[in-house]
Amino acid sequence: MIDFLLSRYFVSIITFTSVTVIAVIGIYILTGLTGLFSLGHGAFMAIGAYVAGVLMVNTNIPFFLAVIIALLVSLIAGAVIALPCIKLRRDYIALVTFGFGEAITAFLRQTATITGGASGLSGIPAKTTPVLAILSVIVIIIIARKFKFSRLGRQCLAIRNDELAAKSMGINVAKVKFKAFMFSSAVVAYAGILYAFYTRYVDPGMFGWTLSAEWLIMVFVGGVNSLTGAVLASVFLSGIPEALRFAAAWRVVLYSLLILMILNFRPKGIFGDKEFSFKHFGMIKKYFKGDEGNVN
Amino acid sequence: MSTNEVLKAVKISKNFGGIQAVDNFSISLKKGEITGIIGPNGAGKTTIFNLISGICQIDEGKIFLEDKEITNMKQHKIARAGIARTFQNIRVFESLNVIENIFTALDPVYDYNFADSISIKKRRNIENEKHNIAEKLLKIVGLWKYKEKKPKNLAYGLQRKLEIARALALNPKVLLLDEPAAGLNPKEVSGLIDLIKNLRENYSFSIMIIEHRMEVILNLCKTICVQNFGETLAIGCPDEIVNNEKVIEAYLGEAE
Repeated sequence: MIDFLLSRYFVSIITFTSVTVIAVIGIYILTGLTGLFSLGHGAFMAIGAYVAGVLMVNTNIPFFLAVIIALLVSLIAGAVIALPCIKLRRDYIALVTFGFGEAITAFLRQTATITGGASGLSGIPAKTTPVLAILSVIVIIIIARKFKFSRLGRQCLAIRNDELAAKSMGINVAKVKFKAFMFSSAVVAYAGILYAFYTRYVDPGMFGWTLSAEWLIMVFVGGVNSLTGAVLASVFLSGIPEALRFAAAWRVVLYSLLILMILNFRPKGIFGDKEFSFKHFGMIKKYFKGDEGNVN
Repeated sequence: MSTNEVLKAVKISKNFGGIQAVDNFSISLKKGEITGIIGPNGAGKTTIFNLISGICQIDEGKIFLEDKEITNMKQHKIARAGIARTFQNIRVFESLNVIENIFTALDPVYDYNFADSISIKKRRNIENEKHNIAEKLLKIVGLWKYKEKKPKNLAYGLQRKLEIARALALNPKVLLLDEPAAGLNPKEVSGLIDLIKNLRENYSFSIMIIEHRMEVILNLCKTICVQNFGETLAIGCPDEIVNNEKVIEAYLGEAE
């Protein structure tokens, strides 16, 4: 058992799952809370991975500085793309971000002298340990939870429910959407940094729109209103391809079938709008003590 | 503008692709007064509300709130300036519970900057104040005991009251109610009339009501404005309106 826990295979599963969980939390903030669809958030992962990666390969600045610079660049890119997006209708935002995402991967392919082009960027130092990955997940879950129950999170939910009514309640819709977009792009870029410094190699093809679409699926399977759902669905769905290894070529078919079944039987996602809370432990305790009559 | 006037619309017009939805509409609301707007379907009543609250842009004319011009200002700025409204089809925030719905309207008003949020004491004071206001408003409309419930689990009439409470949270100078009695049973309607009377006595804002149910209008309004095909047919006190020939014609058809 201990051998397995320390094996490279298990460590890689832990790290990749953590990266996916972080990225999906980023998407949850944008799609689950604010109701905006992005098919280009993979590009923010690419920006995080490439900026930090290129810096570490070509200069000898410390790791944390590379991380900060990469996050700043992703925020600037986020601002550039968010400014037109916040004025658009939901479906057009998906189109704009789709174009943006594909443009970024094309850009990375064309700038071969810096990024290695289509053959990818290699020689990135290994900096992501499983401990760092898990700690990052925990910290980001706490921040996202705080965000959801903050004033800003409340305004995001109001906008997702009814933009017109939100405006009539004095909410500056464009400003709130902008903030949510920036936050989500920084979180996804951070996932990209963790990813690059674990695999030590990245190429532009990894960050296309299919990646963004996969994250969206995870948010919807988990329950679009639930952070708990988003986190658990991303753990579950990124683990399934591993568990289905025996099925070889049928893996993708089985994966898709499973998602269709979930969405067919639970259209609001597995968790709907329920959140995990420590209060539930209290309820379970009371139940076993036999005074469930007092549970309200 | 006299100090008594809260809202004044001067000859506002709106054209939707060739259809004159509102044509030269003028009105002036006095402080604490309730004004009703009636008229057949498609008369442009809701469009008037949309123009005042900034959902639609005004083609011509001007709107003043107290002494400030608010013509074509951004919607959220008009709301913060003091014009609150409810909607014909209920638009409460389904993902938020009852008290959080109230908070959405309080948040932009009780704003604190980053520096304030670091000081825990200051932040707690603001949060407490917000909570107290929400409690007071929910008690007025009788929803306090449902504060943790999701709106969709409430009866239709209660959802309407929630929408009114949320509008009140903006601390408005003018409250626009778009068919508040639609879909309510007779008992709920009389409850609504009592609620609005209660609001008039305890607050100083002016109210404008669009309503088809005449018992609501005649019970509450001091001034009634009748709209038909975008034009104002008549404006006056209830007695004048009920006996106005043009109004009777619009509602019942021409006498042979």
